[in-house]
Amino acid sequence: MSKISNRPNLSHSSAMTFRFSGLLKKELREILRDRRTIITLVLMPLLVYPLLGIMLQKFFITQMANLGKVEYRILLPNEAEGKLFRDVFNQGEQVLKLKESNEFLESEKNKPAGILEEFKQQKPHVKFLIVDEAVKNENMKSLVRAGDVDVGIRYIPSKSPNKKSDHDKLGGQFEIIYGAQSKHNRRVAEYVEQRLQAVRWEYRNRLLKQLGKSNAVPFTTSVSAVKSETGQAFSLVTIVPLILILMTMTGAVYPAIDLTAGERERGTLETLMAAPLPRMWILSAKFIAVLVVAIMTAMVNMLAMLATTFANGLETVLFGTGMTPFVLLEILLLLVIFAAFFSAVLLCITSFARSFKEAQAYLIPLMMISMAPGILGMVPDLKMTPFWAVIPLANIVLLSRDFLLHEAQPLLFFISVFSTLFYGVVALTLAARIFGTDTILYQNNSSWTDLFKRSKKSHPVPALNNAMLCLAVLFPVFILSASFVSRLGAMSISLRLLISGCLTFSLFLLIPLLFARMGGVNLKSGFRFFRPRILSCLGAILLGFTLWPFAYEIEILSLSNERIESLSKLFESLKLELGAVPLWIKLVALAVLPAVCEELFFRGYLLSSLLNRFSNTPAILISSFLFALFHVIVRDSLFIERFFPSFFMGICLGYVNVFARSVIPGIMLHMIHNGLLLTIANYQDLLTDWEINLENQKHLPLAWLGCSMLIVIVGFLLIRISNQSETEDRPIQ
Amino acid sequence: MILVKDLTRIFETGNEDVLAVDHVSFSVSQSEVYGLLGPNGAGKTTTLRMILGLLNPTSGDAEVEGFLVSRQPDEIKRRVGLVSTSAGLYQWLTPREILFFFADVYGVSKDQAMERIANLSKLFELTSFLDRRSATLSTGQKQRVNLARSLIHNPPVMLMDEPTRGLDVVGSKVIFDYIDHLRDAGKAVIVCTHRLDEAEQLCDRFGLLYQGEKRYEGTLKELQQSTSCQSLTQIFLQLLDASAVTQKTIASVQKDVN
Repeated sequence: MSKISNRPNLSHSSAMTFRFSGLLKKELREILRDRRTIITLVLMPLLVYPLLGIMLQKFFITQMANLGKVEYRILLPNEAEGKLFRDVFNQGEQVLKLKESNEFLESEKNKPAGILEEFKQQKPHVKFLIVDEAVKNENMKSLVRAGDVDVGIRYIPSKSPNKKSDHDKLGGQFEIIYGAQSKHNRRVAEYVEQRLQAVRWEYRNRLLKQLGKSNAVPFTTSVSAVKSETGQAFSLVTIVPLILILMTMTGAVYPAIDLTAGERERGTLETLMAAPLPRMWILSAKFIAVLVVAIMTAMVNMLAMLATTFANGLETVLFGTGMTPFVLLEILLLLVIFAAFFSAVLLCITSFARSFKEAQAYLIPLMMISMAPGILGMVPDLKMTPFWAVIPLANIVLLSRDFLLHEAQPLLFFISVFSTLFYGVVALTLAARIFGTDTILYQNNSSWTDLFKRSKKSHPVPALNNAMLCLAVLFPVFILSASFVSRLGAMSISLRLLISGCLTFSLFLLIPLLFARMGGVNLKSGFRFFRPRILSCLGAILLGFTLWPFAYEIEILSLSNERIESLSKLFESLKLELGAVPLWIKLVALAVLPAVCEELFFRGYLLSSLLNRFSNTPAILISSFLFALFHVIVRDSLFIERFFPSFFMGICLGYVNVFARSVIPGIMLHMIHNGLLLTIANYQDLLTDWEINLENQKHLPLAWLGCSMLIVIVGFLLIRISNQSETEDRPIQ
Repeated sequence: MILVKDLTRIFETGNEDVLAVDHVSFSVSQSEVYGLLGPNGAGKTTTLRMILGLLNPTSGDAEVEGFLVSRQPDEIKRRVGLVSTSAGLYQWLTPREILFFFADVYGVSKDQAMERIANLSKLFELTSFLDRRSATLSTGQKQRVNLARSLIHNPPVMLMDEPTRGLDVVGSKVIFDYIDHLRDAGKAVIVCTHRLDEAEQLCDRFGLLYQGEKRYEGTLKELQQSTSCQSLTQIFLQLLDASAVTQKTIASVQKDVN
């Protein structure tokens, strides 16, 4: 063996010339040489799309065979133009029937999509609809757009009208108007155009025979598409981005697991963490590697999908008429943005995992959850709104669909892109906090049964895993109980309210108490049940009376006009139902119990465990998000619009809790807030006489908001001041 | 060169806390091989990880060449080479690519890296498989690549965790020779092992850990004198027996009290 020199390589230890590119190159080499990456990247698209193409073909043929007799509805503006068109159309029909028109059909055969051929050969029933009064062009377009007819035909006479009645010498133009979003409309337009073309073809042939060479035509045709409202009941255009997104997700999953949990399992992560590299660099290199594979997957899938659809003649069916290279680039851009977001989420989750198997177990629910907004995005006639623009995955699906339909709105595009990138940055930041930490790298592998063993030692606050497990138990039980209450229709409303109150008590107090006992959590500090200062209580009372206008305005701002109308109707029926219930029952079931129990859980148990791990703001934001999520579920329905006001209230209550260092002022605030709204609703008739009406869902007067804002500021200041001198929490004696 | 001061680490497992390392202190000087010995779960690996800054100590600190791990973990990482049984290789990269990568990570210039790779290949007989994919290498070959990897930046301090685990006699011989060379090269070396016979041959001084605590420390001679045992194995068995007796005594006293 040769000697090892004793000269350490520390010449430039203080300013190390490490290249980030080296780290990135290693990650890319490692992942792109992996056989499993290549299988997902190349083989999957090669296998999946041809199979998908065949299945779609079969599906369409079956669908079309089941359609039976087809009716084509053609709208004509008036009797005169109707007669003219019918004559030409019938002549076209005759021409096509004639033997010599075979040559024409031969030339046309190559044009239509292959799979529709069988369907096209069926003889449709053509129905001409003629309107007596003169229908203007715009009106005809609106009838087509509304789907009342399949196509509209109007005749535009030539500027130098031919006085002869023989339509052979019309000289004008037939305009065919059809709905762009409907395949059926396009088919009818094609059918009509084919017959008109046949007349022109026959006329020209005749002239050629008589005069020799001639370019004369009896008339011309033009085809105009209008945006139709009643396109397809089920938009296939939405499937394209959804499939691409799902495949992109699939492509990113393996590298994300392999480069984090896989590396940890193989023991290479420890070697890397033992090197003097910033943790963020290591994570960033892994993120870029996962992103590169995800983007490559997206591109390969896009190419494979295009090739398959063109080969099977499905391009119009799947992409609509709006597919251009530019649109494809736009969709690719969206996929890249989505890939960045999803790669960050994947790394965030896989960073928690200690082994490949564990990471897989974590990702399966994530994939399932991710499918939900994507599938929601396929709901027919679902319009892209600011709300959908901030829902990850659904926003990309809807935006891609709108790109294909040329309906994308720039503002919603920017909201979608920025919100997706924002979520990606949040996920990456979270991943950076947990990636490679010693608790993840070296924590003892405890069994799941350990979670249910009673702790031998006392803890001042619940451990995060204990609080999260409690939440995981609470959530499904809460959904089930909400559905259960909605099934108690036969009972009186008062009794239902009391049952609902008992359920709130059991869920948000008894379950956390059980977990606190198992986790050996000190009840006072674990639920932040400390004696508050009088000033804190005073501030909370002020906030209880003045925060509701803002929560109310947030809700109104997040609602569409249609939703406001439907909610007004709902409130009407609720008012009738609740009118018979004594106010005290409403206050106990809907104000006192929820305030006490929800505060003790969300701002007591959950927040204390979060504050133990995170700083104030992230802890409050997480608890508020979860609080809002619970409030979206009302009985057995989802009220998405409740998310934002509940999130707002969650943040306010969270800060009150942190500033006051006690859960009690929050309970007071929550109780007053709920109680006040219930009381207002109870005495609404009286208040309406004073011109105060909250049920019409209209904005509140600015003066109210201004006054409320002032009192809110005073309230928060009182709470803040009350505990500034205090250094330690004081448990209730 | 290495100074370990009162290192303690408690692992929180949710329901109960586990004291993995309990106020352990020792020092290792230049050209010295220190054997950190003990049965499985004694706290050897945890101690090494704390010295390197991979694990945060619950209390205490470690110092390498004057740098405190609590304050300048990166400076320590630059000065330490880690050889661990659990350390794997990038299976889709070749040993040459791995060595170049780590040279880059530790800021070794390309020319210097080429020279070092050539030397280390010779030292550990890597040449025949230097350009083969790592996944195809045998356990011994992988371990030799790992040794080369830990030396690519020529660190003054080496931490070796169970370096001979899974190796045959020939493979173990390579490790022994390697450690001898490290000593000759003036490096401070800590070797963690539960193979006491090996440790006797390799190490200049020993620290015996049991249940996170350092029970004995000294040269073989000093240990023999203080325990009247001849070999490390005997010393260790005595330690285990003493511990078992102590535990039994405590249990019986507790019973009597109750």
